Amino acid sequence: MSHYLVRRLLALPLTLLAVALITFALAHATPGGPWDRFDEKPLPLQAEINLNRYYGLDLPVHEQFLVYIGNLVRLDLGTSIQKGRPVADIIGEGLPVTAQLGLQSLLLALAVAIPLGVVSALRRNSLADHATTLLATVGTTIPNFVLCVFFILYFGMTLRLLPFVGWGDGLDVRRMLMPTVILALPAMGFLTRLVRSSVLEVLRADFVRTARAKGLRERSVLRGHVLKNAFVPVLTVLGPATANLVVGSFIVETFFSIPGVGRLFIQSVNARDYPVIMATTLLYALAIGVANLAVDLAYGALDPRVKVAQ
Amino acid sequence: MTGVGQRSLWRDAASRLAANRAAMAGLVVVALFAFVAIAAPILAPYDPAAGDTRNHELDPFWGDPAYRSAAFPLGTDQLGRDVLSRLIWSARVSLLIGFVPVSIIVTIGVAVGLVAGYYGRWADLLLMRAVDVIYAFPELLFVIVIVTAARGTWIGELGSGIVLIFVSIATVSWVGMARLVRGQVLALRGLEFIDAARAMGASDRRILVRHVLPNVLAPVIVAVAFGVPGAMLTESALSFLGIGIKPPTPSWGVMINEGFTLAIQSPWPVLMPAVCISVVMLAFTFLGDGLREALDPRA
Repeated sequence: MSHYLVRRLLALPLTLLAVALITFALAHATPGGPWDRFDEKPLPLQAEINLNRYYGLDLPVHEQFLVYIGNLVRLDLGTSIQKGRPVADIIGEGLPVTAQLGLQSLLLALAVAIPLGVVSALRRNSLADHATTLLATVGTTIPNFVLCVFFILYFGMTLRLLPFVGWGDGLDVRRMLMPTVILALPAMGFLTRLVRSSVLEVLRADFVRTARAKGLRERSVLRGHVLKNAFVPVLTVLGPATANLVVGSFIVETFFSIPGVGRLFIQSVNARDYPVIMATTLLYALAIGVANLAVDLAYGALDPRVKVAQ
Repeated sequence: MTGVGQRSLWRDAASRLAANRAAMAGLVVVALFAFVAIAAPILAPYDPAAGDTRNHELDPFWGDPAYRSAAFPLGTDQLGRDVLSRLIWSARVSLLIGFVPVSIIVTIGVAVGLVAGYYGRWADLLLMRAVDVIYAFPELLFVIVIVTAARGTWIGELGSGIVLIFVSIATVSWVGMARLVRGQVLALRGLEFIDAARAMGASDRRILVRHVLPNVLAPVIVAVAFGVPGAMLTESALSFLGIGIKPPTPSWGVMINEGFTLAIQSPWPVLMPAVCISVVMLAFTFLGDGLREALDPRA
């Protein structure tokens, strides 16, 4: 296990380096730079040369990369070309918003999915089960941005029930309701289906039959044997779930004008603001890497068989 | 021998699929969608890119009688373009996006997966390192980075940006297919019938093509059933974000992007592509779930 842990810990910075290299190479291998203005007058040549020197864009590409990595290690993420401010500051402003949105959504998804999935599995093939499965499928299938359209047009514009612009101070429940629910829905659907199938699988296991055979009350069987084991697979998907929340945050933050990292990423993509694109991309890779690592560790702690296998 | 066995396996799967009502409904919708996409030039009443501002923002036929016209049954957008024609031509873009990248992904992914899984060694090592890097990201993020980098080049101009979307999706997604096939091959490699074939003197090539490939087809088919709508979804998300299909070429994502700022006064040009995406996505999901159950009854 410790050998495995060390290998995983070493793999994370290597993966991040590969991610940085690919993003950097893509950014610099293609023509067109941050000074291209399709809709405005082109910059004077001397201004472009000065700007390139200021941002270090006049160095050979491999040197630029080394400089970037060197700065990165010292947590200097460079300066945003679009906004002229340190990238670290800009991300520092957006990160709390995005983290709050993501965590709220994940907790909401779990809070709904676990009871629904368990009930659905215990009452297999009942009307409630079929309805839950159908709703879960719809939740996972309808894309985020289509949900945004439906929710904003209906609850925001037609019924005028909820505000749909901005985020406020992070305490405004009415303002946060729609983005949080929309971001949570796909995870909710997916987790409900997963909880249902994993409870069903554990219910068929020999140790559950033994527990019942030795006369344990159904309630104790459920609590002590079924649920505990059924949640292990749920844990393993929290890594991929983080990845999905990241992608969802691009769309939801853009639709609702929420000043988070997702909207920042999309804005920087449209402006080809590479210091910001690099930093946000690395941040996402780091978040997903850490989530996967945490899940692996928790998994090893919960399921003793994993240790033996490693 | 294998021929007879295979046929009955596929026939079993087909009858299981036919008994699944949700999957059949999905299949009907997918077929209808494909028909509309292919027949778009015949079905669409107007040029989807040409508008007449005198007829802008007309309601659909169930809307306000003062603001609708029998000539535009689903109304018009802010530039006076016929919404029905734009929806129909968008289906064509979606169909292309659904099938072209997935064909590339299957070709490369199956080939690499077979080789990596069967021969192992450096091919396997390379594949798994690529998997590590690609899986460090959500696919859409990687696609966005590639599209951003290449949008300004000649390839970004081809077919209103559609070719770049093909290439980006294929570049990112072949790895997942290769990993899937590799896993299947690894599981098959230790089984008796492969040993038996080898003992009877079959060459590696014959074993791969006649014995391994048919046995990895079922999971590949299921992956395709989910890969096609996945690619379509990527395109509409990119187009909604303004980095996908270049206007005036219509796509459902482009329609949502263009109409959204005006949605308060004219919601229909936004709602209708959103409904189309939802229906097609649901149809593919029901079909995919049905295929998975039909091809692997144990799951």
